[in-house]
This record gives sequence, structure tokens and C-alpha cells, in this order.
Amino acid sequence: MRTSIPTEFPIELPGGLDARFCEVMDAAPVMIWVSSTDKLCVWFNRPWLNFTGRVMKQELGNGWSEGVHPEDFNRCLEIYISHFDARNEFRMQYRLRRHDGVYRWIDDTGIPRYARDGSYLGYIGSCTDIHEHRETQSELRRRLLEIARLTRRADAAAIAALIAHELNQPLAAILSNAEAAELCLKMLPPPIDAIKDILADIRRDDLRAAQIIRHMQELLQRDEVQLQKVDLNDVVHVVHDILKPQATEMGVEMSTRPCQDMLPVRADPVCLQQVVLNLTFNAMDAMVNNLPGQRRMVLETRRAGQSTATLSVSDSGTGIPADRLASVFEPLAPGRPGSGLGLSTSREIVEAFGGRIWAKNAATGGAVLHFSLPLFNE
Amino acid sequence: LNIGKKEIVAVVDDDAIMLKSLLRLLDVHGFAPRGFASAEAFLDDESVTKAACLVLDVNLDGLSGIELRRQLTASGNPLPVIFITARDDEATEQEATASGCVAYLHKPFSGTLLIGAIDKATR
Repeated sequence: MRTSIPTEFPIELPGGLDARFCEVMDAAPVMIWVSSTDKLCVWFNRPWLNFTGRVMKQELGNGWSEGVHPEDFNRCLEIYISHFDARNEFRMQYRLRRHDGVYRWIDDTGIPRYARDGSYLGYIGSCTDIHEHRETQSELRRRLLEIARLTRRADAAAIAALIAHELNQPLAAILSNAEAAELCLKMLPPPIDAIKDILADIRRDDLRAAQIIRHMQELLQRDEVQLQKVDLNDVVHVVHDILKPQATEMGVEMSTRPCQDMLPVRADPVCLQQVVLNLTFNAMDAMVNNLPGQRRMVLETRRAGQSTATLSVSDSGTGIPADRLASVFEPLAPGRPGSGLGLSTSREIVEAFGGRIWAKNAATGGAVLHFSLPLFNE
Repeated sequence: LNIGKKEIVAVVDDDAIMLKSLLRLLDVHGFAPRGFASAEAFLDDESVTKAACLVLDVNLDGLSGIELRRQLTASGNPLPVIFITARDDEATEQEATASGCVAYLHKPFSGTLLIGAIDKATR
């Protein structure tokens, strides 16, 4: 049996589309849209129309944008327009209203399309429903941060309970002994030898309590911050994984340039992650006024000489005024609103691990925040 | 009632100094204290059948205070128990209270509290 070309397509399709193309695209497992050089949409495939529950006429032109979540609309429009004019491929995630009224997260990739003669025709985009995937991701991220926080709290609580238990023993013995001594003193005649014995025990328990406190102090210093061998490159990868979805959402292009060599430093991995997270948050905040497509952040690690490793976070933001470069790591620095506290904490942490932190402006624009740590070799 | 005769109070605590101070305190208060470093040592001693009450540390190495209390109850021993502990743990306290006790004292506790509890237990 021969399959005939369906006849329900208009003979004249806009934007250089032909019926065969549309037939194939209707069978695709993804949602597809096509726009022409005036940025207006000229065609949607059947999966798209099935998803939105609307007819082609409603979606054409800018009609489709009625289904985009109001909170995502401006961001998407910015990305679409800026890439469209530059004829760059783009990818964005936004919430689109499904036929049942529920907003679902969509991953949308748009690429410019050209005619056989090379003339520019507009864009074609494909979308997939990533709602479950995204929910899982954000849940994972949330849990990850929660676990990091809980671990700290649990450590502190466990240590406090241990101190209480250890100290309560000698304190209880001292109290019992003191009360026994008081009763002995009321006896006639007071049993001097017994009282001497009691006082000796009290003295010993007091020393025991002091020793416990000293021991706990050592334990706390060692345990609260788990100093261990950490590869700076691993820190960069972890932060990249944690931050990727948020960066994408904010239209920030995040890339990493890890050093080829391992960069072992002696530090607490969670604290170090916190430092790098603070630097990246600062970078992302610095770029909110940049046009989409011009928000770039690079995480780079390097070996500096024989004994030092550095990590830098550079952004394509407005940079830091020269007179504030030295003070951005001060608490409540007047640099960027809201960034002072995170950056000053970062400095405290880096310095606690024997390192240094500083800020520079890049020759190409934007700020670069660096820190260095001594390389650790057993 | 054995008027004139000192009442035997058994004390189980694995902290030697704590045990010694308790025995001393009970002694000056006119009791005849018997000390044990573990629940097992307590169970091995025949003389404990004469004890009027048991001061029992919750957190013992080996058989725990609560387990000892349950064993006593299971074997029909009506010995009243006063739990003492250096740990602040609500779940353990509930478990201990449920196993049956005259009092549950947190170290460090005053002698008055302990003696009051013993008086209540032996009354």
C-alpha cells in the first residue's frame, strides 16, 4: 500500500516550510515551533498543540506566549530576542501552561534555520517536558544543602551532649562528697580523717572536670572543622553541579577551567564549597543587569609555583570600582548590595585554612575574585 | 520493719568515683550502702535480696540499668528503683520511667533529692 501525502496541509506554507517537513515534524516525539525572520511563530507541530490544547490559529504570531508563565515571560523574551538578532543557538527553561491548566517546566532549544541558498529563514525550536526531572533536581539540591547544614548542627549537638555527660559525672560526685562532708562536720566529734579523704576526692574530681574541658576544647577545634586533603578541582566540580540549574535559570553561562594537575589543599570541604558558592553568587549578582547572552562566569583553578594553588571566579559584570577593590571582603562592604557578608565570611574561612583572598578587575571587563591556598603534600 | 537496724541501699554505677561519693553520702545519712560497678555484679550478689531499694545508673556498660530493671520486674522482684543518669536524653528517660521507678535523677543531683527518693521508696 502506498502512503499518500496528506492533503490537510495548506499548499502554501509560510516561512519556506513544505508539507513533507510538517508531516515528519508532527510525528516527532518533541514539541516543535517554527518562526520566521520577523520573530513571529508561523507553525507548531501536533505534539505542541496537543500539549497546550489550543489550535494553530491561537498559537501563531505571539499567541503561544500567552501560555508562558508570567514569571518566566520577560526572561524568555529577552533570551529569544537577543539570540535571534545575533542568530545564535539558544536554550532556555520556562513554565508552559498545559491543556489542563497546569504549568509544566519545558526545556526549549532554538536554532537558526537557513534555506538551501544560505538565506536566513528564522528559527526552529524543539521542546521537551522536563517537569519531573527539574523537580527532582531542585529537590536533590535542597536536600544536599540541608544535609550540609544538618551535619554541622548534629556535630555540635553530639559534642555538647558528650561534654554534658562527661562533666556531669565529676560534678555529681563533687556535690555528693560536699554534702557528705557537711554532714560529717555536724558530727561530734567530726571524723577528721574521713573529711580529709572527702576533700581529696573533691580535688581529684575537680581536676578531672578541668581535664575533660581541655580535652573537649581540643576535640572541638579538631572536629568542628574537618581538615582533610581536598582537591580544589573537586570543589569546583561540586559547586558547578550544585549551581548549574540556578545559573541556567538566571541566564548565566557558567564554565569551568580546572587545572590539569590535582591541587590538594588542607581544608574542610564543606567550608571550601561555601566559599566558592559565595564567590559565584556574588558573580551572578553582578551580572543581573547584563543582557542575556552576556552573562558569563568562569571558575578556574591553577597551580601557582611549587607550593600554592589558586581558584578564581570571574564574571562579565560591571567590575568593582577601583577604590573598593581592597575592601570588598570587609563585613558590610559598600561594594555590591548584599554581597558584603558572604564575602567577608569567605575571607575568614580562606584565612583560617592559611590562604589569602583578593579581588581584581579583568582587562576585558568584569571582576575576578581569587583565593590561594597552600598546596598540601603528605 | 527493722527499727534500729540500718536499711540496705544498693547502688550500681560504673563510674568508680561517683559510686564512692554516693556510698559515702548514704553512709553519713545513716543507711547501709552496698556498691556495685555493674548490673551483672549486682545480680551475682546474694545479699541484695535484703536491700530496701536500688539506686541504679541508667547508662551502664554491659547490661543497662533499664534492662536490669526489666529483669527484676520479670522475676517478680519488687525492689524499688531510683534511676540516676549523667545524660540528658528524653527518649531514655521515658523508657526508664515506663520500666518503673520511684524517681529519675539527673547528675549532678542534690543529696536531699536522693535521700528524699530513698525515703519515699522505703517508706
